[in-house]
Amino acid sequence: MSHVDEGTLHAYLDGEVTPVERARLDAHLAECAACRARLEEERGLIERAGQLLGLATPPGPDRAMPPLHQLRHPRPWLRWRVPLAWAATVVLALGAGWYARATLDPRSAPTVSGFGPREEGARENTTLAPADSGVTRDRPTRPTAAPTARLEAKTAPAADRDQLAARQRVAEGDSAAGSAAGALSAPAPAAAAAQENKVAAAVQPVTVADRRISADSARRLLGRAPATIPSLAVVSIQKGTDGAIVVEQRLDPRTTILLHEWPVEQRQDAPPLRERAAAPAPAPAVRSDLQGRLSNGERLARYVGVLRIEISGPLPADSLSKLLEAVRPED
Amino acid sequence: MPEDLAEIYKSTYRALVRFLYRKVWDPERAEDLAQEAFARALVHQPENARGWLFVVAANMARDEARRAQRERHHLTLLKGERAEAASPAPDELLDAATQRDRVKAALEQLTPRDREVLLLWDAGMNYDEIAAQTGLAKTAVGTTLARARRRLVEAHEAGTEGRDVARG
Repeated sequence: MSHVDEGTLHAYLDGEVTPVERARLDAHLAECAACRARLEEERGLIERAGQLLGLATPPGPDRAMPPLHQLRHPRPWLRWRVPLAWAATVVLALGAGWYARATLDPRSAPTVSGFGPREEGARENTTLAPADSGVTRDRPTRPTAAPTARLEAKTAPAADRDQLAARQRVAEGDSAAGSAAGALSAPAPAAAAAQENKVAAAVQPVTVADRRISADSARRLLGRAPATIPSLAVVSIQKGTDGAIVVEQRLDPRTTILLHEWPVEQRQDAPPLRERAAAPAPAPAVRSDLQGRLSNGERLARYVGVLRIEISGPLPADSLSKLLEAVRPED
Repeated sequence: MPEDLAEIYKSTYRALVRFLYRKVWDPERAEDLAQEAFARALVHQPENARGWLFVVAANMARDEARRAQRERHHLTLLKGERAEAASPAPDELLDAATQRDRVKAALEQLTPRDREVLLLWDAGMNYDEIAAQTGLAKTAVGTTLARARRRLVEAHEAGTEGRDVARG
């Protein structure tokens, strides 16, 4: 008769074997002193492990549990202040990078295919109403004196700005953003303002109008409000052909990015606790296509709460990666 | 049939706090994150709330650990010195704090998966729930728990026997 393996002994002691299995084990244990002895050993081990875990509990008396209904409005801005600062850093660096490049050679200013010059007034978007989002998106629809990038920098308090600048210098890896950040001084805002006035073109939304859905439909389909990058305006929400809910957000007057979102349980192949590794583009100048596929066919992805988020846009993978990190759940 | 969230709150809140504490090792953060998880559940109304709560909690703790690590990294680069500082405990709590630290050190000797399975079991999840959350087959949960428990106890004993034990 074969003896009982360790895993089965633990399952038995944890009460996790089927009644049939339990009967079989009981019969064996009745006749096998060796296994009975091992059973007692494992029982002691389980007890000891439980004791040790009991020591790893929060110190002090248990804090009072707030009534459940009060939890609907957790403290918002303190926790998000740091990620917002990072998002501002990203937008600042990327914005300055785009403007700086355009200033150097206006004719080669990058445009995204599918966008065309169009009157600003024709653009009206399904921007999420503040009531839905809880975050104000009152970005002006017409270019103002203050370009987008500077608007973000202003929202960070002065003390933080030094910290932001310091963080940019030690930022991991994105050379494009790094050199853009280096150009971040008097010339950039002046150039940006000049460039802003030249840009009469509005950005046409990337995807087709008849796949648009409302914020409510998106909420229903996802089971929750879509996750977004808090500092960027939402241009549209669409239903993707692959079943994703696609949130389009404006990065600057000429660029939008797409967030492709699924509830976690819909992605059977992706285990909940592990992330898909980001595949960096071979060179910083390589851009993903509009669908966001990198050279190996994958998108950058991340789990935010119970949503799986993939990102795509006309940017290097490093920048997309940083934007992906800034995605936050709506509530 | 989905359980009433209020019932789950009463029965699971403390376990969720403990589960989070063993990841963030900060009692206030653990409470904050647990409350945040329940706040989201209120809005989202998930079908399987208990499992959902632990998934969300694990993700939040992981994101937080990453952010904290990035900030520590930057602080280190900016200040040129190690940013770690252990706050001294008052005398009367020293024993409990030391014990907690030893268990924490022993837990860190486990592989991430073994540790996760152990913490989920201790949080009150059954084998089915643990299998669903970790992607393990149900038959593998017992084996993993056996290994995790043994490793925890051994690592703890090795840690308490001597201060200068070679790390395994």
